[in-house]
Amino acid sequence: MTGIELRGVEKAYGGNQPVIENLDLQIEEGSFTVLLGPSGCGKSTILRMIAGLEKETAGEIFINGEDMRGTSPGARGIAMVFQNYALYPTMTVKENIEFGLKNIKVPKAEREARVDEVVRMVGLTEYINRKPQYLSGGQRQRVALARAIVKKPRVFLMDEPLSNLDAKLRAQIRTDLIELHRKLGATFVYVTHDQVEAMSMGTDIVLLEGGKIRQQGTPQSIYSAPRNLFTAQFIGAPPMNVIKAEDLGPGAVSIYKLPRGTASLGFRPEHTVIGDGTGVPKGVDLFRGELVAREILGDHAIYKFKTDLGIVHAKVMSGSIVEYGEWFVGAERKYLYCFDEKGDAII
Amino acid sequence: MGNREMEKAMDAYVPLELPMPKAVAIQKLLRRAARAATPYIMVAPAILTLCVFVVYPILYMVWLSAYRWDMIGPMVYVGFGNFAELFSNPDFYLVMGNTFKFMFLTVSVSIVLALLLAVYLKANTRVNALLRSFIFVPYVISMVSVAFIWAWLMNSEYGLLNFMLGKAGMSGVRWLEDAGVAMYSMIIVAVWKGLGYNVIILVSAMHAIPNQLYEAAALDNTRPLRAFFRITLPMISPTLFFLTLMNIIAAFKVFDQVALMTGGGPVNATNTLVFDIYQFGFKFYQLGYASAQGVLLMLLIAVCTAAYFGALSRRVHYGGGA
Ligand SMILES: Nc1ncnc2c1ncn2[C@@H]1O[C@H](COP(=O)(O)OP(=O)(O)OP(=O)(O)O)[C@@H](O)[C@H]1O
Ligand SMILES: [Mg+2]
Repeated sequence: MTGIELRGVEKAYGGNQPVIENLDLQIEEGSFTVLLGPSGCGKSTILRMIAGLEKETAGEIFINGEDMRGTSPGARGIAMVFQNYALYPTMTVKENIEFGLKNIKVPKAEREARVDEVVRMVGLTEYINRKPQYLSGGQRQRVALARAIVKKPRVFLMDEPLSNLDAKLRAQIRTDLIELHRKLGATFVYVTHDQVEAMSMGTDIVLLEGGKIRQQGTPQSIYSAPRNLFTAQFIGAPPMNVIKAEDLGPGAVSIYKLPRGTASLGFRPEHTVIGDGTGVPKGVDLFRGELVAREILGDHAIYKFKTDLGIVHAKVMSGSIVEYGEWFVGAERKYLYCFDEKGDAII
Repeated sequence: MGNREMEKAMDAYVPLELPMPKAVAIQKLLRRAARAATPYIMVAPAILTLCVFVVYPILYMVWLSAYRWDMIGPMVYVGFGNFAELFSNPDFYLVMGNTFKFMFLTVSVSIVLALLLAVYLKANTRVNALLRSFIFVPYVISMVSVAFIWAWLMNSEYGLLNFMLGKAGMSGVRWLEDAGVAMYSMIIVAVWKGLGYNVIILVSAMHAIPNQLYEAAALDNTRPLRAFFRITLPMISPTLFFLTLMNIIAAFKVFDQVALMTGGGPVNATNTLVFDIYQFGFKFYQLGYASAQGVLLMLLIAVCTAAYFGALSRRVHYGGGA
């Protein structure tokens, strides 16, 4: 088995309740795997255990088939990019990057060549002799990346490396990382709580909640086939609209011919149909809603309706702008997701 | 805010009552003057105290160093005579040598030892917390008690140290009576007393280093010794720099320990500059000569501090972790 494998991993800090219990996780070699989940769900903990910075209390971790127990962080063939970069403040950019190479006694000529190459790759040539405190956030980020790349690791571990950057830079580095991943062909394990980052960069997403994997798969499969309410509502912006079946009225499940056991219904905002109540489109169930907020975003618009059944979002690509007031909203039957009592998807 | 509103109100008030403008102008001027003076009035007590207890004595000492005076008789102007006498006195060179030896060895041993201990004591375990407070105790104990305890420990006939050496089959050492040993004994005591303070300061400086740097270092295959020299030491350099300077100045000024433990003996072997000043001033009543020594001490500390700054301040890393 190549890549990374966690088998029955458990982690408890001190004498506390375990934050991760019996976790099985497979990360394929060469994948860009994103660990995604809300704050406190254990993403960093998992990453740090892979890095060897945190010791698992039970279970095994394999990297490329090798049991990592007792292997020091430096010997795991990994490199890590920290959220706040953790650059050595007293060293220059160059010293920061070459520190790891010096430690393993890479010959000077090779070292210089490798440092030179990555510095050029991340565009830091001019700043090579500066100390981190005289660099901008984005530049520091690049140093941190360079420090990881120069080691030529099999695995890159990144813990929310973009969260300290502004939106524009974030978007730019996102594409840089995709490029980098394709170019290096190494395994990337990337931690974030931002589903946009996960969807845009990941080839594989591991959605976590409370230390448990709720769903793992490609961005497409996670988006189009959520296996539970949590996944459905975590992925997508705005999140999936969810309506309780009982709010549709007594006997709704049979009236609307929904699968047995349906407790709630969901549909994506981009599938929300907005009508004025005249001439209901075929196969669409509409209910009354008041438009309470509107975000016009150029190529698309997001509308927020208040209905008797709860808040319903609509995401409309182009077309004319919907005016504030009373409308009817709904969705086509084929776009409905059904979930049972426990929040698991039906079918 | 209130003042400005009041001013505005007064300005508006002016055209109504004819005799007022002048009075208002004066009032305004006074108020402005008072406002300007406020900070100076606030710091005045501190400045005044400084002048009375620091600046005046220094100037007086410099002035006194140009006279011969026994505190009772008339003062005789001798110009640089006291300095000439000082520099021609072989004892002075002995005292200076002692002072430098004491300073250099005490500071270097104490700082190096404190660094080593701090590395081991920085981990926040219960045992370490206990050890840190133990090691700090000597710093809190008064020098009088310390001197008594150590004078007893180091007593060559019934002291604990020689007793233990005897048990171990070694011959005793005349700790404070042997002219070749006494200075080292003094240094041991000085290091013992000051070590805890240095350790505490260095431990807290080390605690301020983000742990992620060590994690990054671990991922970079950094050996512990290298991590110490490439991460810990540079990161605590501002603290270390300042702490060493304070240690140097304190060591130059050592007095109570000498007075209490050896009285400068045997045969001047532990006599240091400040103790010598005290002896000349208040035992031999040669105030001019003592003042000349005092001036020299002051210059010495100033020069050493400047040299220290010049040599090391460039290598200190200021500015936060990034
Ligand atoms: N050193 C620690 N000591 C005790 N508890 C910890 C420690 N580190 C993390 N935890 C706990 O473990 C759980 C998971 O933490 P973790 O840092 O892995 O979350 P995360 O998913 O990375 O969250 P975030 O997105 O906020 O970074 C949290 O409940 C946290 O309180
Ligand atoms: Mg985290």
